[in-house]
Amino acid sequence: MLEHDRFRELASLAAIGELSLEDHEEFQRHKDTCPECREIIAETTSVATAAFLAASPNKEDAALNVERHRRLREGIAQRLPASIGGLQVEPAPAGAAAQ
Amino acid sequence: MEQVFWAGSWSSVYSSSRGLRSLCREAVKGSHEAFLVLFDRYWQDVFRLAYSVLRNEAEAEDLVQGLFLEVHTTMLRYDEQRGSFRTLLLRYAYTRAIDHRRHLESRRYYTSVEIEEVEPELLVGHESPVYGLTLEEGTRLIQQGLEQLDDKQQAAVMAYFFRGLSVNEIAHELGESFGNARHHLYRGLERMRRVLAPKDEADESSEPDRNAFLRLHRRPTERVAPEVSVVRARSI
Repeated sequence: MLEHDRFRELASLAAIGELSLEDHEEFQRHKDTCPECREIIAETTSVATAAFLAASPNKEDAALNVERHRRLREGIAQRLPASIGGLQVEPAPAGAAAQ
Repeated sequence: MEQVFWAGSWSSVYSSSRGLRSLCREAVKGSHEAFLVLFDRYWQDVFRLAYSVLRNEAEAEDLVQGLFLEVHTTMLRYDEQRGSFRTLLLRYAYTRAIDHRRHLESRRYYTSVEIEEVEPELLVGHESPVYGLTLEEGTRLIQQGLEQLDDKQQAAVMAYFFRGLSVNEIAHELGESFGNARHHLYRGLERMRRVLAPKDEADESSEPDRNAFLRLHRRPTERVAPEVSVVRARSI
């Protein structure tokens, strides 16, 4: 196998988190100097994202989803900071956290 | 003072691309409500992706909440000219989920990007048309990609993404070495990448041509794999 063919393989495996520690260290040094391998990572990541989304359950419990949405939304609304990057933010109006 | 849209107003306009851009701008300016409408719009995509990677509902929920809170703190760096908000979320969720899975499994495997907080480059950069697809469109695309693979590649890719098996488990199922199983997975993924992720020759800052991309892959199909394995959930 040509040396760069091996790096192409490592790039694909890196995108799905399947590099050994040894491979990871070797590949990190190469990746920083190789635009092609960075492109392979980006493209493989997009394909893997689509594959994982396609694999998600296609029959979801609607009531469970509504409850999950409510719970997560309230948790986030309660924990949003009063400012971001030093910028004061507008407080949400009363009752806005519960949709 | 500029106009601020609260939930009722936003809900009627956020489905248009112009509405989404306005929402992002308001969120960047610090509107909690605009940010929560973005959450309403995209939380399920993030949860589905996180769950498919982690195979654990509680872990996926934690990831969704943590991710949105971190994205909120970094929204000032969000550049709408370089990619959609959904792309940002999915790329970030993917990286976080893969990294968290590695952590949970203590497998000492590494992702291409290890992050402690949102990396600035995740807020800009690569915008594949794949990120703009609906769930159904993406599923159709993946099925077409799977059809291009040989039997062992298909078995490895299906087991990995749709049944949540680890490479070790795939090797055991196929009766092959770990190295061979990982190579089948790589070859399958590489083939799918070449088929499904054609390079966008246009200017990187331009919006990807989602319609042209879909025309390349237009075929009816059904969801690929309704079964969801609990193997990973058990293993973590």
